Amino acid sequence: MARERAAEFMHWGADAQGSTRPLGLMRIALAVIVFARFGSELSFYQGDSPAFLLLGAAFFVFSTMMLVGYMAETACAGVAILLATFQFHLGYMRGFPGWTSHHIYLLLVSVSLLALSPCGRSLSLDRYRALATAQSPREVSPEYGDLWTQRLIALQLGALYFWTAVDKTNWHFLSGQRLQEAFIWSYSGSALEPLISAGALLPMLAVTVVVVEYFLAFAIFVRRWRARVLPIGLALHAVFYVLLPVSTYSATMMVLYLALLDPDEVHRFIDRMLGHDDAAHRL
Amino acid sequence: MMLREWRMFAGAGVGLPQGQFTVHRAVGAVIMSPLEVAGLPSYLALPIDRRIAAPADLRAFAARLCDSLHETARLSFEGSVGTHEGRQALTVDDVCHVPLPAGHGGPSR
Repeated sequence: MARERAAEFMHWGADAQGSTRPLGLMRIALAVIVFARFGSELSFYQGDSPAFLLLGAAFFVFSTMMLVGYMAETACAGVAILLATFQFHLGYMRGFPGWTSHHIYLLLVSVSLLALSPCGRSLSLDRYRALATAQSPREVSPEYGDLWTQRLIALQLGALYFWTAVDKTNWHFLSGQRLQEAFIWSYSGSALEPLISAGALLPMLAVTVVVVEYFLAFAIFVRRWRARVLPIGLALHAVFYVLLPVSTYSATMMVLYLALLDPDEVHRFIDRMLGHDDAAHRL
Repeated sequence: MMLREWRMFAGAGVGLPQGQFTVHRAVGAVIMSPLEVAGLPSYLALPIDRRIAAPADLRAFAARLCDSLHETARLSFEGSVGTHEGRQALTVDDVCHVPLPAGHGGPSR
């Protein structure tokens, strides 16, 4: 029994193979999010030293390559190295405000894993060029490959939900005090300032968030629940986005939900949407 | 590292005062909100180094007002400050002249 379970886990994880389209979609969406988060701060008019200008130039080159899928895996590796530089050197060592944030860490881990995946095989300039120069479509690598990195992204989501719930499992959070502090930070001086003293609403919201996060940590991996669980997670992140200044965190999490979907179903869905029903049967 | 403990919004609200400042002048007292004293529209615009870790840090928080206050006027604060252990009540009688902790010779920041 245990051996069968271990074999199933290996089949789901380390040995997983399938369509690379979800990886291609994640690559494009994460490149846009990285742009949205850092583009303004790294534009040349912000540069106060040649090193910062060089960093900005490298950022725009690698993130554009990542977006269009030109040397896609190399581009992702370049963006991952830059994100690590932003977080650890500029954030922790030089104290750039906000660059040590958890949402940048999440981007760093996700882009690093994409760099180790065949994310350039789908929806990329790499594929377009390969198809344009090949004598026959059979010479081009199929939109199919190893998916262990996609599984690690999925596990990262589970770990994130679990540990953020653990961090909140204490009286200060469950009594609504930490939520109140977050609201003081966000709403002081705004039209929604009364939320700060919302009484019983704060502990109710706090308990709901913790319960949903513990639930999501495990439920996102249960295939038969997925159709109901994923909308709950998406709704949670939508609420976070409108209630709190979470920057790119909600958008990143929503994009990473692609790692939870069956890659071949995503492949067939895209074919159906493009009217390629015949191609949909090839997988 | 990938499975590290995930801490989100752990520092949100920490070091932010809630309550009221009062300017005591010969002609009467004026009550001001912390944001009015800091000269900010929102705490989202407050730099990290102006958050309050000790009562003496209120001086840096209210620096704009303290620097322009008449010699005979006094600024007090009554309310609470966010900490990692929840909100702590804080009352300071003379914000602009809070005694610094032992070992701090210079300005509060």
